[in-house]
Amino acid sequence: MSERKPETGDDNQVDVVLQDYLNDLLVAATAQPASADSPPTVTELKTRPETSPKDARPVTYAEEPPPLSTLPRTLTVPDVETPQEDIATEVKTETPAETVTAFQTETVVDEPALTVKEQTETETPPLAVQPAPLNWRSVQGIECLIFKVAGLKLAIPLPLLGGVHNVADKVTPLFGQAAWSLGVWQGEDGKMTIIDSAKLIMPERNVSLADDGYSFFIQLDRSPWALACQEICDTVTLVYDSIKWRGETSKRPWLAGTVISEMCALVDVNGLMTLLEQNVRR
Amino acid sequence: MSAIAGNKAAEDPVLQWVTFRLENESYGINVMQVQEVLRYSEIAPVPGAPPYVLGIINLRGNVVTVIDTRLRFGLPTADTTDQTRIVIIEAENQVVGILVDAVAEVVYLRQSEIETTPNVGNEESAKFIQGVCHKNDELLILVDLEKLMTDEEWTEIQGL
Repeated sequence: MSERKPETGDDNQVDVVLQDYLNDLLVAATAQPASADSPPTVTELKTRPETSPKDARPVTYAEEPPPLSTLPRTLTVPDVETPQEDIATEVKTETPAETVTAFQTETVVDEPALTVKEQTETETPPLAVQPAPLNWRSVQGIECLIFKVAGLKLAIPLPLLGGVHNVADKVTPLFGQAAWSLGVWQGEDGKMTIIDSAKLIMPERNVSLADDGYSFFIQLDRSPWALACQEICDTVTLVYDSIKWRGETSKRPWLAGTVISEMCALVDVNGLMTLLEQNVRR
Repeated sequence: MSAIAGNKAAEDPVLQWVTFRLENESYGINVMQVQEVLRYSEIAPVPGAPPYVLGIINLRGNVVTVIDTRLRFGLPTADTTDQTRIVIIEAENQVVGILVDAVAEVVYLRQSEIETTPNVGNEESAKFIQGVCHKNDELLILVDLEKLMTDEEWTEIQGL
């Protein structure tokens, strides 16, 4: 990957100030509360790469983001399998041709595991299917879908996106569940537990998607978990240096880092799925 | 052929479930545990009874304790209507009544149709859920009546 030359002092200052501002914004929006319903904190990852603000590079768009009106009712992403070489990942739709949107993205999946091994050493049961790690250092970058939850923009890598489902049928609430569980939803491929993303990610704001409403479900890889969200924004291609990676002391296992140029949080899908699995009572 | 069919039935038995409604959701209980369904009648409160006990009714000379199902499930209270029913069930060798918003129907479900869901509950009531099943375009929540109360609570009810 080509490294960007250091920028001028003024540019550096602007970058640093902007990054600090975004970090503060995200911390304020997502600070961990001491609520009974809040998820437990997880041992932090040791292998998470760090980047300095100087290295931050602008986000590049792989192609024009699709207009919202053309978003398919359901997007599905095929499994990413080969971990050693470049593969092409295509997002397909199962809806009629008039709403078909296809995203072409090339991803390499040979990044050293940055996920849950260290987290699952204690009592956490292993996930049924562990998504392949992503190679964020690939030149092509990784395409991510940006969506909104209670005003907060979140990005999820397309290779780890199981599908985007339009909310058509109701979610059946189950009694006695955690506050961040909206209930069970019957999808085409089976049942999914729908997560109130606002309650899970920023419980201190007392925002509930059950009250505010939601329009889409973002399925996490091939898991039975899906995040409820209110708006799908667009897709962007992110490269390693465009992300301010989460520090080792972060208390938010669902957060991979912050995308400065988009002012959004990059979701750590593996970390989030581990967090959810840890909350399952068996 | 019939032997094969018999094996299949043994492997995947068909179970009957009585469905009832609470707070606009459908719940199912094993028909073998349901003795009868009664229209709502006055429930006599019992002083000193635990909060989940609404009171007692006289069922043909027998005293039956009625459980506040909404409270047990952590649902908000609601007024009784013409559809309100008391379902007389047998669980843990006891006969009790559970108050529900309405009784709907009896459905047939294959064992294989019943799915478990991740239990992310912080409350004890979450363990009452035996599974869920997609039926008639909605999710039916199947309730394990044996777990509706703890051993101590069943004993407490017996002593009322």
